[in-house]
Amino acid sequence: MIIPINVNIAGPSTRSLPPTFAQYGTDEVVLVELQGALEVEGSSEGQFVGKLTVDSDSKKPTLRIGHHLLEGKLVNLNKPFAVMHKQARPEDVEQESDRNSPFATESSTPPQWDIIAVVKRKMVFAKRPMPIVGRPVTTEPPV
Amino acid sequence: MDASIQFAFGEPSALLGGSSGPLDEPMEAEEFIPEFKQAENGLLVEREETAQEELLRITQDEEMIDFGESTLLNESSIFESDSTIRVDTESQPHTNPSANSQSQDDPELPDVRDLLQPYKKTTPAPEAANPPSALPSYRSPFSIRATTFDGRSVYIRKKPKKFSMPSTSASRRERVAGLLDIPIHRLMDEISLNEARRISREESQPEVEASQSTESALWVDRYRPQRYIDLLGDDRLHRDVMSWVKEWDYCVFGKKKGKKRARDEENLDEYHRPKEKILLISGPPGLGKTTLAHIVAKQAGYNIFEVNASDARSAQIVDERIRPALESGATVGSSKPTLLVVDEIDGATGGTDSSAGFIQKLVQLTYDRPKKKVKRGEPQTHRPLLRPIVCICNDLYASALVKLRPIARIVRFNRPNDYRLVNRLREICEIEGLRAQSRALTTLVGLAQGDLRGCLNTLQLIKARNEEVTEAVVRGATAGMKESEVSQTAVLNDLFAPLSHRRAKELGLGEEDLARYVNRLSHTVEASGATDRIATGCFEHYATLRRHDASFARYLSAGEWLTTYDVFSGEMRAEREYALLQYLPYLLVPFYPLFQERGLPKVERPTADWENFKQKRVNEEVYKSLSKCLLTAGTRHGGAFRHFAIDGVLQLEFAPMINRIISPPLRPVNKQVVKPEERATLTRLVDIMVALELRFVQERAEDGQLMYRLDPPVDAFVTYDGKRAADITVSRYATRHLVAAEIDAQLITKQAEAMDRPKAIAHAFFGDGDPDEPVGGEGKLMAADPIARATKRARHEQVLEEKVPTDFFGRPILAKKTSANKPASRSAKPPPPPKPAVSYRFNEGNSAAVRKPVKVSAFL
Repeated sequence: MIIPINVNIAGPSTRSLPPTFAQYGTDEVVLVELQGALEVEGSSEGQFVGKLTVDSDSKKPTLRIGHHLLEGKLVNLNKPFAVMHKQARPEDVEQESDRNSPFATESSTPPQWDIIAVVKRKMVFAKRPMPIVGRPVTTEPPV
Repeated sequence: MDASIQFAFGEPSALLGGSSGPLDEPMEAEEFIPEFKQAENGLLVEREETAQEELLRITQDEEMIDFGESTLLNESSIFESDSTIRVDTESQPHTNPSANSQSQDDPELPDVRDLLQPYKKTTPAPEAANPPSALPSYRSPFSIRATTFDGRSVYIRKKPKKFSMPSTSASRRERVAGLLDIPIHRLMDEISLNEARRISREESQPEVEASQSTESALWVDRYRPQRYIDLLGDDRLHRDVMSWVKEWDYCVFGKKKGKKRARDEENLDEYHRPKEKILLISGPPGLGKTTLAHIVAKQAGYNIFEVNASDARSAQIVDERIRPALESGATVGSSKPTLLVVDEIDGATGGTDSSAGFIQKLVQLTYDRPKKKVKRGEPQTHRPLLRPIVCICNDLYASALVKLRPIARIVRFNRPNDYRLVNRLREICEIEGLRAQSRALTTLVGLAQGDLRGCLNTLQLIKARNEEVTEAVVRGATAGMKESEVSQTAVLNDLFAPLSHRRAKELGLGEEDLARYVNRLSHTVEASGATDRIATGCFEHYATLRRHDASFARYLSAGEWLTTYDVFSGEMRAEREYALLQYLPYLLVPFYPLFQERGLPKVERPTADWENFKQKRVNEEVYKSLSKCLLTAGTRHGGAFRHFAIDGVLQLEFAPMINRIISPPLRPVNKQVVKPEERATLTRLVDIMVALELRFVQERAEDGQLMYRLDPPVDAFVTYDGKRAADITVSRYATRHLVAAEIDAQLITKQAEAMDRPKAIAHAFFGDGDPDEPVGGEGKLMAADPIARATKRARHEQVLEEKVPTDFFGRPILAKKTSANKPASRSAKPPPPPKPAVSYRFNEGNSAAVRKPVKVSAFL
């Protein structure tokens, strides 16, 4: 089976990064790697995770999640990742109901994938989080 | 000859130079020549004499200039060329003999010259006036030139002389006139001979004096052996001592001396010391133990530092004198290392039980300090012992030596061979001019039991009385000798074994004498000076003898004698009837007819009495501390237990019972798991122990294991004679641990109660105190009270236990509930800080993620 993949890097990015991330390029996609897990109460839909800031002097990214402040570093990936996006096609919508049957998918035209971005760097938050006393960040950061 | 002389000094001007000699140097030759001229005149003797004198002067001068050669060579050295020797010998045939004689005296010259001082005074001033400092160098730049027979030129070294010629010649004339009949060399010989005589007389004088003074000195000192070879006695024993001292060589001298054979290298430690740092020489007196120690030390190159009976032997001495002496290694001003000899150590004070005794300190010297002390950095106060110590004692089993014996190498002196002693005594008698029958000497040695010192003293005594050494005299002289030195074990042996035939012969006792033992034995017992201890020894020993005796009459009788002895001595002590003292020895004599038997093992020193005494002391100590506990408990509980503390009650009624009471059957299980009845037992036990102030104290045993010791150690009375009471269980570590923990807990609650008590009393005053809660008043009888309280407490605890289940570690089990309840309660609460919806949970440690290829189909 041949899956057609369109390379469309220059393609429309969903949105450009906030101005503080200008050093990463306005539309570069950066992987965020956490040593740990996010625990979400209730539904994860539309939840605010945390606040990512990059210190202007030390170029160190920090991530604040709830009561925790994580300190990370920027690392080049050994192998860049591609961010692929499955093209939404009318058949998909139709076949959404009987997705379980592989035959249905196979028989139909193969799904189209677009590579919309290439990830070359990642932020690694491997250190033990520092507990923060005070009001946790709950509000949406001003974008 | 004259011609040759003339040839030799063939310078006419010089020959004719006459007598006028200024201080100028040519004079040497000139001086010679006038004399020869006189010889020509026929005064041969005078010429000879003067020549002789001249030669003497020459040699003396040569000597002063330190030529260090014989005069003959000096003569030849006058001439520089070899060929002139011939001339020289030719020229002075007459002078040669005298020169030779002079040269023979030459080695002794300085002495003789000194001796000749008066003679010199008569001789002209020149020599005396000739200060050595004025002497020029060996070869003065000026010399006289002469021509020999065959025409060679000869340089005569001039002599540094600064006297005026006329005065010499004048004085010489006078003297010469007086000495004509006796040649000077004879005179000098005579003088030197006289001098030698005088010197020899002087030398012999002190010797004579010394020999006179030794008449008053002891023979023992005079005939003390000076070298190892001289030692008399068991050679192997001497060698043992020597080899032990030699084992120190590597440590002390830092080198291996000629290794003729492999010594015991394996038991040397890090300092290469022998395993036993102390040598203990024991043996009867007078056999030469001290002498052996001294001689061996001298032979091995040590300097002896001796501490003997004349010195104070207290513990401080070790610190003040011995330790410094040993640590400094050598005494001041001597290159030899120190060897400590402690003589008569069994007489050291404070040796037995006190830890600060002399022997204890001495033993401590030998301990190796643990390494960690050194590491601590402080100046090391105790350095290791690096010098040998030799201790000498008479009685190896003296109680003072108990600590010393296990760590010392022990050498036991035996009686040397009799015939060697006799030989030595005979030699001495010969030297001293004492007539002695050898039989008498044998008797003497026998009587003295090999005590050479005693023998010598006796001989000297006999000599001082100007008697001959005969058997009768010997017996008379030694009458008082042996009795003074009878040890306790020897007396016991005498009591339990008949005299050996040999000894009987030595003492000159016949069969009848042997049969009449009472006097002899009572004397022996009395002489020992410790009748009581001998009685104890008898008491201990007679029961161990396995004599066949169907009716035990023998033992019965012995027991009666002992009882009588006890009555007598008790009466004597109690009523101060010391008149009874003289009868006491007789009461011990009957053991001889009852038990004497040949070939039995020797009676050892009685120890059981002492051991039991020690045991009793220990036990009394335990009882004392127990009664102290009871008394304090009594004060706390209103005098409840005070009546137990009376001695008889305590020992007979209380202690045996308490041992059973405090060891109930308890299983060593976790206190959460115990059954209710067990718990009741435990609580009761704990209450009793708390009330009586008995504790379990955790301690570490010698092998490092933890153990609980009962304090006070009343459980010592559970065992008797090595056997344990059957009805008392052995309480195990775990059980004791359990009990100890409970006791601690109860003590803490008691303290807390004590804090609360004033409040409670105050409440009681106002009448609102809990009627169920007994107020812990001092006046109340508490005997039943603790139990009531304990049961109540136990009930209370049980209720608590039911309420709160605990897990294995004794924590209340609440975990599930809390985990379930917590979020609910949290959410229910209005969160003062709004809880963030997303929280981060950090995964500790390394990520154990496995990277593995995933097919794209997985994403599809």
